[in-house]
Amino acid sequence: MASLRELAGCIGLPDNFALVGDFFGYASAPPWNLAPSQNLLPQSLSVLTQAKRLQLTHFHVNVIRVGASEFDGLMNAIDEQNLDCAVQMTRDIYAPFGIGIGRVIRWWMIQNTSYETIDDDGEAEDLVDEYTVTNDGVDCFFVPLYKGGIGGITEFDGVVVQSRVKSKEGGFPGTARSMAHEFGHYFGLGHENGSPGNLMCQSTLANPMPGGTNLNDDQVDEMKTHVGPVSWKLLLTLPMKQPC
Amino acid sequence: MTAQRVGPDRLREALRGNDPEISQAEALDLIAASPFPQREVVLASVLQDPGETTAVRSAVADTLGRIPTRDSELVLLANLRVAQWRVRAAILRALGGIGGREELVAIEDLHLSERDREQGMAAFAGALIAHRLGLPGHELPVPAEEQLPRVPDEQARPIEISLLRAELAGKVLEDVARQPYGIEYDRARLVRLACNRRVNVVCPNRVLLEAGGLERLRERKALAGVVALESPETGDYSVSYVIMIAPAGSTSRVQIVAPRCSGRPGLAGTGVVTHNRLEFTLRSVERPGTFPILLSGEASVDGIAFHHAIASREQLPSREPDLLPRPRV
Repeated sequence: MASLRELAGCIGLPDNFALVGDFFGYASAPPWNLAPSQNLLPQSLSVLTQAKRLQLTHFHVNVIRVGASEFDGLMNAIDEQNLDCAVQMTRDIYAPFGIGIGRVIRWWMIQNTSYETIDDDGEAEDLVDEYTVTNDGVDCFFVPLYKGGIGGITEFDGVVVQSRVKSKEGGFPGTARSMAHEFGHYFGLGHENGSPGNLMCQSTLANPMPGGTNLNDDQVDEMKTHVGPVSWKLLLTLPMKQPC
Repeated sequence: MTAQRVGPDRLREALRGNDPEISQAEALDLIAASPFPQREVVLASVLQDPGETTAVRSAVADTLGRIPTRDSELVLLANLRVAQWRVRAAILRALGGIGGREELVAIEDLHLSERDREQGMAAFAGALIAHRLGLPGHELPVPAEEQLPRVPDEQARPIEISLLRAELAGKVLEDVARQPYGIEYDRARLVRLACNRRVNVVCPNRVLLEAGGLERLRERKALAGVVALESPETGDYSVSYVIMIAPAGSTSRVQIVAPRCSGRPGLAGTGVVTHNRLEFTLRSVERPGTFPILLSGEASVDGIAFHHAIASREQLPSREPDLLPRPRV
């Protein structure tokens, strides 16, 4: 297996990368304990496991906090932890299907706009259109509140995920599922509302977490058609990356 | 889940963020969708709570703007001077949707200047009310020609136009009714525009398409309709643009602005009214990340017909979010 430094270089990290903040892309290291009632949350990180996942087809993510604090650019501690858990759980959801999440740049923020409250889908559309990180990662906008009873939405060039306001303990797994679900849309998957065990079943119809996260072979094949550089789908979305 | 099944006590707690399962966003949607007793009072208590987050208070204001009752108006009016500008902006937007003359006067009495960050939203709210009631003044600024980007032929792709099927029209209008703007629509005259994986439905104001309705635009402004966006996630529709038309000085020319319902710039253009027909041209207003579009056509008692509808394949340059210093975790 390639060295850690080689893997870090493969996903575009600088030589002086930090393990948790850069290689994983998290604001905090486990144990993630601000939702003590939840027993599904990851409580440790494995460098070896993440290294193996980089040797799968994978995609990079830009996590963008919308409505971050005007003082330090962060969200509440529990919201930050919700986000860390969501990314790690999304990694765990996709890995069994041969898809990894590579570099997560987690330090983007948008302050002092009215986008922290998404009142309708047109506003989500505007948010995703108006802001773009110019790298090869999928933009994932993390908003405090999205009205309309949904956990997230996918637009042409990014996804929007709701943190469910104040990151209720019971909302942690749902945030993770929403994030994984929206990435599924981003890479071409439609809804599978007849299959409550499927990740692409809408949340109101899906099995509760940790259920409702499966993908079938056709869905996995569809997502992997987005691997660059030859897919026609490059015209529509950013490509997935070849294994490191 | 319905408000009736959840019950008022639990909804109140959920709205305050104290329910382990129902989020505040979900509580707001449930309250807006049901004749929950004294819901305006409950919403007011959260709107006025300085300990609540700006995001939640703004969403509460938006919810009050979806409940077109006198009590809602009074709660919004009473909170027009709260401390946070983003909450004030949300209140103004809500008043624009449901307010009347009294609310318009209250907005004028704020005497906002360019230093006030909610000034743009106040202008938008005032314009909404004035157009809905056909009152003079409160026109939104007309974008200059250079603010309306062209769609070069080599970058253009067609927007697919079709009359909306009657069975779907009922659903669109049911969904749009959740965001009341004080106008009624004709389900037989909804037009579907599809492009770039996005589907919008033009819902014209029924009154305008009646005999003599378009002629009146020569003298009196009007809220001409809304555009509803289909959610790629749920298939539901929500208002994405509001269309405002005002006389432009000459006897037959009119000015058309169609901002997003958030008040952000959307489309703008001009039209000519002759013999109860309106010929119009609309283009996107320049904004970061927009895919510029061009729409031209005519409205008459027969409905809306688009003659030319194209969108650019190229997006205008977007902004980059700010990047925090990278902590060494």
